[in-house]
Amino acid sequence: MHNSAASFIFNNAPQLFSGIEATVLILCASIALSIPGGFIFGALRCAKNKVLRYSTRAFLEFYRALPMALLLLAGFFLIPQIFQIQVSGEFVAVTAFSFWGSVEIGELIRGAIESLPKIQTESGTTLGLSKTQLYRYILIPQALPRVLPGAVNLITRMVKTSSLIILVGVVDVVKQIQQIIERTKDPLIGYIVLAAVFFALCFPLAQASKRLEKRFNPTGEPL
Amino acid sequence: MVYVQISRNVPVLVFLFFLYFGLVQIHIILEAKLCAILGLGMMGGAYMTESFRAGLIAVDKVQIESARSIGLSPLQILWHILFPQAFAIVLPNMLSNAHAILMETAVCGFIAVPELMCVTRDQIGMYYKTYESFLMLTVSYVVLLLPLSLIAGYTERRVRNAQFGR
Repeated sequence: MHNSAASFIFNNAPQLFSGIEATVLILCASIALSIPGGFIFGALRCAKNKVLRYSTRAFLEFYRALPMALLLLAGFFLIPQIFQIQVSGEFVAVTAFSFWGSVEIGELIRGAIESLPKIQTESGTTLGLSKTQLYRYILIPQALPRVLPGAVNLITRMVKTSSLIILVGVVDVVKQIQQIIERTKDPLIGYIVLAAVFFALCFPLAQASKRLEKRFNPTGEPL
Repeated sequence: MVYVQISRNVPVLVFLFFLYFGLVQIHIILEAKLCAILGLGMMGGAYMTESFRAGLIAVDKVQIESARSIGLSPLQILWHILFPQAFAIVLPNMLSNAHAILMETAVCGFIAVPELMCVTRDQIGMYYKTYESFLMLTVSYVVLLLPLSLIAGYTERRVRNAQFGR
């Protein structure tokens, strides 16, 4: 009962850090998968084909409209039923998060490419660039800086939402802290430490996003 | 500022745990629903603060200067000039915040608030009808969230058109 935050952290350091490690690993895996996924999804969203465009739009809206907790639970219970395979909580968490990341990053990329002045595309076409060349040399390099702040912001949201993965039985930092609390009977300090951990993970990212935004868009006009 | 930063960078779930389980230690016992309202309110408040700040900044400087030149007091400027314009600008943003808060309610099941998600899990536990329950849950969320998101899209278009017309 008479623990300070420092002794709480010190006494339970290994357990605490293994929790943080699990959270960070899952996040890194999801982010690493979302970036290529985002490019693919963004390309699909930019496609001329109406069926492709509307189906991806529908998928996006659908995915956005459902809470992460539902997606995690549904993935955890429905994937084994449908495909007759065993899945671990980690697998479901990474899958759900990387789908989410891909969809959102894809949307950011689409928004950035569409926000580029039309003259860029036209000039590129005039020069006789092929579609691939146009995207590779003209559009994507200009769109990327505009995507970055939003992408970093998205990662912050992912970090926050990652507290939900205890739902599918992953022993992440939240679960570890709960276990420590059950042992030490010290919920007040425990949850303050937990809040501090998430703050420490998210705050630098939020600041980075703000700085990137200022750097690539110094006038502050909406892109 | 500190409040906004903390609320924006800490997951709601952690807030809820802190309010519900943490405060018990210093003999503050809150009911689960109250905790949920407080936690979500805190998060939502921070997001709303940020959008509203952005809205106030987005109002043209000329507006303030003109208001001052016709002799309005700062309070009058805020109430008659800044507030109506800022409100129009941030309305779509506020609706999307409301959307986010509505989605976050799924978290409240963790602190024994019998909300949609929690009830669905109970149903699955009772009847083993996983597909049906999740389908029902999905439909319920879509029914709750779709109108909100449509209204948000509509107001956004309205606001943008209004700005064009200016």
